[in-house]
Amino acid sequence: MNTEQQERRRFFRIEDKVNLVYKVVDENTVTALSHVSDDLLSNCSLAAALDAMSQEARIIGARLEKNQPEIFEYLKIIDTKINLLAQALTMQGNQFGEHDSRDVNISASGLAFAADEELQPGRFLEIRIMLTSCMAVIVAYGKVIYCQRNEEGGDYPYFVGVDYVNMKDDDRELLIKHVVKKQMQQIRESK
Amino acid sequence: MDIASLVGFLLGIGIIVAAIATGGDIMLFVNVPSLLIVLGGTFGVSLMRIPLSDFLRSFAILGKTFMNKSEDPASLIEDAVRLADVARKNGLLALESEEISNDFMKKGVNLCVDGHDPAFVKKMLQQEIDLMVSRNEAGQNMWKGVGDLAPAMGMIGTLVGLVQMLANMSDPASIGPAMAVALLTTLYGAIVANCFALPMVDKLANVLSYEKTNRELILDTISGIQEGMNPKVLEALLNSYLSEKKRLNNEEE
Repeated sequence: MNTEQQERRRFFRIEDKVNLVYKVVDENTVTALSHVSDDLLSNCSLAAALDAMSQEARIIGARLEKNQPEIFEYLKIIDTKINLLAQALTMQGNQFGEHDSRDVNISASGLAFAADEELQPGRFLEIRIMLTSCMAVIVAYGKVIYCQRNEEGGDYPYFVGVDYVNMKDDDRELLIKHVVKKQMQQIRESK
Repeated sequence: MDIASLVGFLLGIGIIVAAIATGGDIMLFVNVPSLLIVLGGTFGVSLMRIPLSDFLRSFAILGKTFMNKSEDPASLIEDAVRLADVARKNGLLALESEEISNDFMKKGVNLCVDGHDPAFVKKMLQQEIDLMVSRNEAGQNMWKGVGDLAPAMGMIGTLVGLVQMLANMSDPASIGPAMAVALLTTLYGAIVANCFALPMVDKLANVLSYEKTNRELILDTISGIQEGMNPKVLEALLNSYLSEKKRLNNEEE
């Protein structure tokens, strides 16, 4: 396995069905870091930002759970409320249509998805993915690594492999969590 | 093996024996009926206080004070970080082939690999911790009871000896030796309680607290793995289980 392939397989991959839209962009858009660091309050980064904050809060929360369990329970309820509000905001502002659901092979380092057009390797894409496990939308830039005919046919004649470019750490964390959750669900369903 | 328990016990008994030996004939302090009253009486009455299964289990729990194999939390945290990293990079099923020395952690990881719901896993592991605590507390209570009963049985033995002595006052020469034997039971009772049972209760409480903390650390580890938590965040979370000194040492390393 060459280095590029090894790099692509840095994180575990799962088969999933997600809402996904993409558009072709030029390389400058992808490499300009200002585009990567989205506004914290935009729909797309809200879930990731909240998740990152939850990670920080967990360290304090573990101590609080032991010393003041009632306050901890109360804060957990407030946390759930905030997450529900974030999900509602995400749902309102998303740009997904009814037919954007498609089969993907997803990991925290890359994505392969069914596409209706041929995309040449080397081209850059802006991809919006809605993760059903946490109802979060991730906006990522990616470079097409391969594009092959979809043997299974269906609505999408091609299958495109993409490597994420300049992905934010918070988004990557969210993807990893989604993959772990999804794998757990798949193991349960396979029994 | 917890060498401190063994050394402490041998040292405590050894010093008493040495003190007796320097004062004269050691056999003066050996009296089988007194021993039977104290040991037999204490264990007999203990059986009245608790169920037989708890009574028998308390001896196995006592073994923990001598054969304590509690792991260093720092090594558990190392394992936790490694496992969290494997789960994120290679998937949950990859955990199956990982080497895990701690049985409780292995059980938790197996539950993860089986794809059980995080809430269910947490509940199961928490239940196991609670049961472990309750079993150990039953053992502690038994030995605490021995600590309370042994001096009381010693006192009863002394009273029995005194009654026998007073019933035989016709021979003044026998009063002294009989009185000495009567007092031996009090001595045996005090030794059983203060050189063995009560220190063991404190040691058991210590071992239990250490084991409980380690298991809670493992519980957080398993929850973190199931969440796909970043290994660095998990490490920071688990470091709160370490003493401040150990935490500082780890940070320096």
